[in-house]
Amino acid sequence: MNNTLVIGAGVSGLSAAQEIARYQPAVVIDRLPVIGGTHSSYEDEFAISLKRNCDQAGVKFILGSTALRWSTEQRLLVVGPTGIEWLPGQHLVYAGGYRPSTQAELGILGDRLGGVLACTLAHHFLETGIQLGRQVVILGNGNSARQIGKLLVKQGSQVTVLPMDIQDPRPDYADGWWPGWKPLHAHGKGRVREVVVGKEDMVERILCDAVILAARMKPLRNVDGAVFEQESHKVTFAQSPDDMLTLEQRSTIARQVASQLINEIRRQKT
Amino acid sequence: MKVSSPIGDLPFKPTKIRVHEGVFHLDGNMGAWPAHVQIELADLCDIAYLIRHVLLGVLGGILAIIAIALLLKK
Repeated sequence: MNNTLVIGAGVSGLSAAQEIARYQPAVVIDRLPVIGGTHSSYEDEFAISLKRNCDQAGVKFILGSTALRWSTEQRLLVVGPTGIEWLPGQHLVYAGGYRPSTQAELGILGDRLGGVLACTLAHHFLETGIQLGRQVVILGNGNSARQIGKLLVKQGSQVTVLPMDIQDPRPDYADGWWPGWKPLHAHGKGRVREVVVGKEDMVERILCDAVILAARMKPLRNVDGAVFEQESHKVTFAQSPDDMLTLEQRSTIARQVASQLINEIRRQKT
Repeated sequence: MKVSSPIGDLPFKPTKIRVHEGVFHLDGNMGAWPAHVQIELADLCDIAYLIRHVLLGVLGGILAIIAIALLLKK
């Protein structure tokens, strides 16, 4: 059992696996049946080149299978189309991507209204051609928000941006631009109708029929036993929730994390 | 082929097509997942309706070619 299990076949997972495979066997597991992860795609040239490098390095892939639990006996419970199995592993590298903060995490009061969507889901809907709204408020100004904004403009939607933490630069697609303003409350009956925003002692209302949550990314943690960094046994997290990073930068960070892990394993052996 | 879904775009690579009891069966893979599409007569009618303009154009073209051929023969 000298292999390392890597959860996530996105850019970070592929990069980490390639780095690890230089020293010991690596197995990549992903719930999706293709590489690329949430923030890339199976058609992305960079992801394809990483997969090619992994194949050359002898990395094994278990795609379309969901990792559920990492036990202290260093086994990973995986459920896939062919059944349930425990995979033994010396170490687990978690590269499960990231997600935007929820309405509650952003401190926005109000009911759970229709039309309030996480940017990851909104992106898929937009690519399918579904119109999310005519007057859309985007919370955030990172790469995810920018992808959404461009697609919304193509659909003819009017876009208002609350950049939150990432104030610069103002994107071309923003019809409304509210730097320094915070979302306070979402109003509506069934579907969102307006967002109340505040800045210092000022309060304003922005009429809208959709709100896209694309601010303050958080690492996804959905494998039992690999949730908390301090409490997880033999787990290394290779996630970069900074939404301004390019794929290449994510790859570099994941390689550095994997490299540190290899050095640690080597040190323990000697 | 590409299939869009809430979990992202997935490839669909057909590997086998067969007809069994009046139903088309298209086997293939969506990445690592085996996939299977059943196309019944009603589905073919729906598809034909969706591409009716193309079908009418093709039919019109065929009829025009036949008419020209008949005229030339006379």
